[in-house]
Amino acid sequence: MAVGVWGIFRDAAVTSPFNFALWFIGGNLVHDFLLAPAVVLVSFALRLVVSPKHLGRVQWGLALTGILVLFALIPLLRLGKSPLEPTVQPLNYGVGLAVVVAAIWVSTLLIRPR
Amino acid sequence: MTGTSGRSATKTVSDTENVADLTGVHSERNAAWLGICLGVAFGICFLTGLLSHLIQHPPGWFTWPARPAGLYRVTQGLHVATGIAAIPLLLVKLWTVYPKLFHWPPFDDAVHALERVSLLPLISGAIFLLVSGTQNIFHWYPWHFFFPVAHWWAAWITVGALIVHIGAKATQARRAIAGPAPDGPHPQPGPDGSLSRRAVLRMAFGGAGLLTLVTLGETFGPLRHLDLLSPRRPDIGPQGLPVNRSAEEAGIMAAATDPAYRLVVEGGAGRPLSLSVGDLRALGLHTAVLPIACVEGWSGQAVWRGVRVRDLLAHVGRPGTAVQVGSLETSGIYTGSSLTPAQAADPDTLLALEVNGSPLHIQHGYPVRLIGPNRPGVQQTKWVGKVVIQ
Repeated sequence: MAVGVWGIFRDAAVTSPFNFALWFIGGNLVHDFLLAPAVVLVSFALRLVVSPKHLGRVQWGLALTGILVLFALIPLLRLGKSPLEPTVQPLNYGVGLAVVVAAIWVSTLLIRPR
Repeated sequence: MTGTSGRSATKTVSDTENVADLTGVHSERNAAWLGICLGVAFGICFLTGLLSHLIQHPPGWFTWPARPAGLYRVTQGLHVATGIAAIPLLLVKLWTVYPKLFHWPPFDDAVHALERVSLLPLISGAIFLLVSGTQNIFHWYPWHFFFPVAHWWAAWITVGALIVHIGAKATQARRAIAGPAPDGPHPQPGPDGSLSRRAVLRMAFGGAGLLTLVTLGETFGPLRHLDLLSPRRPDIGPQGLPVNRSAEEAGIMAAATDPAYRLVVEGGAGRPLSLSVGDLRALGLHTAVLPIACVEGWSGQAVWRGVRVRDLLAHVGRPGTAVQVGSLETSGIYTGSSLTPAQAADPDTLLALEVNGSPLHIQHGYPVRLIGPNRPGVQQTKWVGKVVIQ
C-alpha cells in the first residue's frame, strides 16, 4: 500500500494527487451512499408491488439489468466518443443493450429463484 | 456483520445469527465465495498488468521474448476480460457485505478496527481500478491524471490492502465455505419469495459470464459477432483493423503524405541512409501474419507485408543489434519504440508497407510502420521516420 501511495506522490506531475484521491475515494462513496441505498429502496418497493410468487425472478432480472446498464452507460451516453476515433465505440450500443436486456428477461423465465 | 458481533452476544442469539449468516442473501458463505473469486480475478489482473508494465518500461534484468507471437495478446486480453468479469462479482460482493457498513459500534476491538480501516483502500481501490479501467477502454477521460500511471499505482495500493484483507479473513472464509451447503441441496427462496442465497451466487456468476460473452469478441475473433457492448470490434476499422491513435491526433498528416518522404537510417557501418519507399521495396518484401494487440485489451490478426528489420540491419552492415524506431509524430509519449537484438532478428519483425493486401492506410501508419511478434500495440510504432541502430 505504501508503495502505491509513494508512487502517486513521486509521479505527482502526471498523477495529480488531489484529483486522483477524489476519484479513488469517490467511487466508493458513490457506491455506498448513492448506488447501494438506491438498490435498498428499489428492493423495498419491489416487495410492495410484486407478489412473492414472482419476486425472485424480478430480482434476478432487475439486478442483472442494472449491472449491464451500469457497464454500458459510458458508450450509451457516448462519453469519450470522438469523431477523430471512429473505431472506438463503433457499435450501436442502444441496440446491443436492448438485446442483452431482452436475453436477461428471457432467462428469468428459465431460472429457479432458489 | 454478525461474524464478529457474535462474540459479544449470548449463545442462543449468536447461534441463530450464524445460521442466518450462512444461508441469507447477505451470508458469509456467499461473501467468502465471491471474495475468493475476486481475489483470483484481481490477482490475474495484477500479474498481467505488472507484466505489461515491465514490457513497456523494462528494467535491466527484464527481457521480453519475441515468441510466442500471440503471448501479449493473450495476457493483455486476459487482463481486460478478467477486469470486466470482476464487475458483477464486485457489485454482488459489496451488496452481500453492505449491512456490515452499519455495524455498531464501529469497532469491536483493535484487530477489528485495523481490519475495517484496511477496507477503505481495498474497496476504494477495487472500485477505482474497475471503473477507471472501463473508462480507459472506452476512451473516456474526465479526470486530470494520466491513466496508466494512476491505474498502476492504484493497483499497488489495492493489492497491499487485498493481502491484509486475505490475512484477516482467510480463516473465517475457510470456515464459511467448509462442508456441504447449510441450506441443503434444494435451498428455498426467502419467506417473501426473494432469491435464495445460491440463486444470488448464480446470478453474480451469470452476470460475469454474460458481460464476458458480449465483450470478449474484441480480442477473441470467433466471438466478435456477439460483441454487443465491447468498446471495439477487431474487424471494424480501415483495412479491417481498429485504430488507437489516429493520424489527426498524432498531427502527422502532412509529413506522412509528403512525396519527399524518406526513411532515415542512422548508426549503420557507413553514412546515414535516406531511403524512399521504393528503396525499401527493393530490399525485398516478406509476409507475416501477426496480431496487433492493444494494451486496452482488443486485438486483431492481420497479414502484414514489409521489409525485415534484420534485412535492413544486414544491408547497413550491422546485423544482430538493438534498434530504436522513431515516428514522424514528435509530440506525446509514444513517439518511438525499441527492439532488442532478439526482437530485431526475428524474421517476422517488419517495417511494414502493406496490410491485408493493400498499402497501409494513413491510420495504420502509412507509409511505414513497425510490426513485430509479441509486442504491445503502443510499441508497434506508426509513421516510422527514423531507424537508429544502437
